[in-house]
Amino acid sequence: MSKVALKANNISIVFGGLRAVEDFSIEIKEGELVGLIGPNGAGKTTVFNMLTGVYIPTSGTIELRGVDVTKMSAHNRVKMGISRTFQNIRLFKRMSVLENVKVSSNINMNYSIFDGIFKTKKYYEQEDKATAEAMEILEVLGLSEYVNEQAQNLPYGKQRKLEIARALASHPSILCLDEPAAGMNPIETEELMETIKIVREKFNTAVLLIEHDMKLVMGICEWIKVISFGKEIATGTPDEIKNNKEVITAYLGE
Amino acid sequence: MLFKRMNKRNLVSTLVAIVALLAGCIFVQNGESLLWTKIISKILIFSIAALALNVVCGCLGEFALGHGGFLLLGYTAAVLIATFTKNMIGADFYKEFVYTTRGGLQPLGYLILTSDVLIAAVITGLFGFVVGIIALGRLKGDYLAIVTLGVSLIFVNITKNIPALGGAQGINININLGGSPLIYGIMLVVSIFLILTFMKSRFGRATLACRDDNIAAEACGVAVNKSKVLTFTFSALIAGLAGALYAHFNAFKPIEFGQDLSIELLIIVVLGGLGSLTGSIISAGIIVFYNLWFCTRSWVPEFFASNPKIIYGIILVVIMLFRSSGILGTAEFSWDWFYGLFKKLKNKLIKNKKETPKEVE
Amino acid sequence: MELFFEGLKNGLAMGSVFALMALGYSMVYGIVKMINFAHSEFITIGGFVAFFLAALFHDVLGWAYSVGMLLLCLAGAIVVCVIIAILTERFAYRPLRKKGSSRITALITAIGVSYILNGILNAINNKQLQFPTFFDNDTAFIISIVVTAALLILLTFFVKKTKVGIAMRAVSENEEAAKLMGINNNFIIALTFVIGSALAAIGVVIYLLRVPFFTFELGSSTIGLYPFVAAVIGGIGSLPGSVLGGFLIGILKEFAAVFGISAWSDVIVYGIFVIILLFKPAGLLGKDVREKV
Repeated sequence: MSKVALKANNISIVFGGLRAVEDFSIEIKEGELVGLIGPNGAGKTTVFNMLTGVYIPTSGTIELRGVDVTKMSAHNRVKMGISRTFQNIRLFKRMSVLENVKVSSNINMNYSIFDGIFKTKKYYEQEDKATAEAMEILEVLGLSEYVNEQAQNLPYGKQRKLEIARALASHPSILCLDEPAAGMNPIETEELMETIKIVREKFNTAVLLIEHDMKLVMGICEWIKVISFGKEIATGTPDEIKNNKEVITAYLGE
Repeated sequence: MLFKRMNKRNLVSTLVAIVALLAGCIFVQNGESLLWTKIISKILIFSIAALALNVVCGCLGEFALGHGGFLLLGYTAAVLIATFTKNMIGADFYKEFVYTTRGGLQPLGYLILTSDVLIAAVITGLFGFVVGIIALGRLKGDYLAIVTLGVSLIFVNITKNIPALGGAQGINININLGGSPLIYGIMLVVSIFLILTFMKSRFGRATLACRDDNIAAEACGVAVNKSKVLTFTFSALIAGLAGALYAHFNAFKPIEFGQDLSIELLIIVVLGGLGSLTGSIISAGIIVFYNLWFCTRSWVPEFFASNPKIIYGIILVVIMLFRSSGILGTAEFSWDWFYGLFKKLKNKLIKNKKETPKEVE
Repeated sequence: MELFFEGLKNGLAMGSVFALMALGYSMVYGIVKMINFAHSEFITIGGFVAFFLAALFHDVLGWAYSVGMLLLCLAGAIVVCVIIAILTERFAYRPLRKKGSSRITALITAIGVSYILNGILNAINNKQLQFPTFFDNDTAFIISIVVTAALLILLTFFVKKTKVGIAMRAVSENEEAAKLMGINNNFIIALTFVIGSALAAIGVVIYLLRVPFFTFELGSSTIGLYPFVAAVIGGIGSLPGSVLGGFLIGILKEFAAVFGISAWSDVIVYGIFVIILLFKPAGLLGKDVREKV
């Protein structure tokens, strides 16, 4: 029986007078590859923001690996096993590729300031381990040649991959990708599909992805949830979703 | 430990540079020229203060306009501690064992100076912690700048109004604490060391991440508020160190630690390049040298000396309009670059040699 | 009891001056989204021009002191302030807006401009000058309150009901969209600075009516950051907020003097400033804005 990586129970959020998301639930097991789709403005990124702790839901609960994290701050949730990428890439522009990835390694390190200033054994142990792990991740994502480049100098497609690499360094049990294929051409998208599958396997993490590119979603997701106007309208396998009347209506109108 | 991993060449070069710097300090300390002692001392102290501010503005990306206040704290604390120590031990003992007849310091004097300066720095760090906790979580951008300015003005005004802390004339006015460029030099080296190691650690990494993108940093597990407060406290500590040294350098009135000083430090940091430690030091040198040497030359029109603000204002506006990254941008001095220069020079010479035989033919 | 009313009266009078100057800061910040540090120098410039003209009319041309002369001095002050403001905006601030510079860059540039202006003023003259007395204290008090109230009402009407005012609010909400709707952003922003500096000039002249001493540190030290603090406390970007903040600070300062602790008035004012900002960053009457992820 696979363990549950992420569970959201009827989460809702209200902004001012607007119910942005209402009664959203999802249960993702370890290692699953799940898609979250819906027309523009449906509330997909808002759901992500609630799962990762950027927003606190006004009702409902969220559990990571069985632990209630509903009120937990965003950075503490990372320790609980969730990490994400952003719709509009948010890299640490002026830091190097390697340093970008190692930022996420921080939560796995606990040496003190004293260790840091006097560069004790503990410092070297933890930093070297983090560097080795980071290099491994960068290798898998094909970014090894850019290790010391400033993040902002990378070509667009590589920047997206770097964001994924960075999200992996914190050892997540669920990785949330927000439109990872945005702005990519068909070849890059194919490559991304392979990368996501490899990442899922190699790093033993579940993946929840928001996407508009149907080829990618239908191609790699095991099952898909559809939301529209903040509410869930369908859940199922790619085939089931493709033929779901409500989904089609939501996207194309009556 | 620390030095295990350093490239041998770099390690030796660094040690040689430190020794050279300290030798220079000793030379200036025992030298005849009061003016140069003053200039070098002020450059050393202002470098430390500028480095402190750069940590917050350049590395953390948060603009603090009130570091003058932290210098004042360090300054006041140092004087209070030194005076207390003097009163405890007795003026006669001081004449015998602490000060030399020339007005310098004996070994015990150095010890006392170092101690009161370090304690003052820690006290300032504590204040920085409180200010940081209160202000950094809630305020952003220009609001943070204005609040830190306001807080520093509060410090200045409280000090001005309480005679025990100095009153309007300043606490140092009748006390000579005895200064030492050697100690200033040592403290500069210590400050650089602390900042470099801090930035290379996971704390520095978190700081840079906060600078580049607060939200992404949170999403990567960085406790952004904690990180900001930590870095701010560290910066206040170094600024307090500079302020404490300043007390040994000369006597100042509280009002001299107000807006003007904070902005002067900001100019130094911005001019040198936000995020470039080397830039801050070079820039501090330029500004102090400009004020204490250039403006006092008889061949320089009086306009420059009596109107520092116009020049400062022009510097700020010109930099912001044309090169907002400052002189050095984010570039840092490195031994690789330094020795690379020699290599380039060597290559150029070889190239020239190769060409001459052909011409002769 | 008498002291209380005396303090209240002086506080309101001083407060109205702060209010007018705060309105200037507020309008610029609300619409251009920058803290114009140089505003304090506009204040000094306005005061200097008013003084200079008064000396010119009376000492050189031999005119008698009268309301007419005062109005001419005021007009002169406004004109010069406006010109300086337009030049500053055009050559120092606009290039930054074009480049898309950060708010901090704008703030630092404003500090630079403020230093340049202060330096120039100091180079001209650094002695204390005396402004002639036009009215007695009570009349001056009434004038200050009336003018402040009138300008607040006028500005609110202007911003809410006139075409140009609405255009200003549009630019304040979303510069891109305003441009797309055919609004000339550069003009609107320049106009904002014009209004702001005019307010500064009016404010300083009213100040000089009651406190007739002028030094070149008037804007930067004597009045200093108080109007700015007033604007932020009241809610920068909010017109009634600035006026409220101005009166609050004026009263605080005067009561500090009444109780004999005016040396501490800076600590009190900045202290309250910091405290309010910590608990209500948008100010007493301001609005809160969040960043979208």
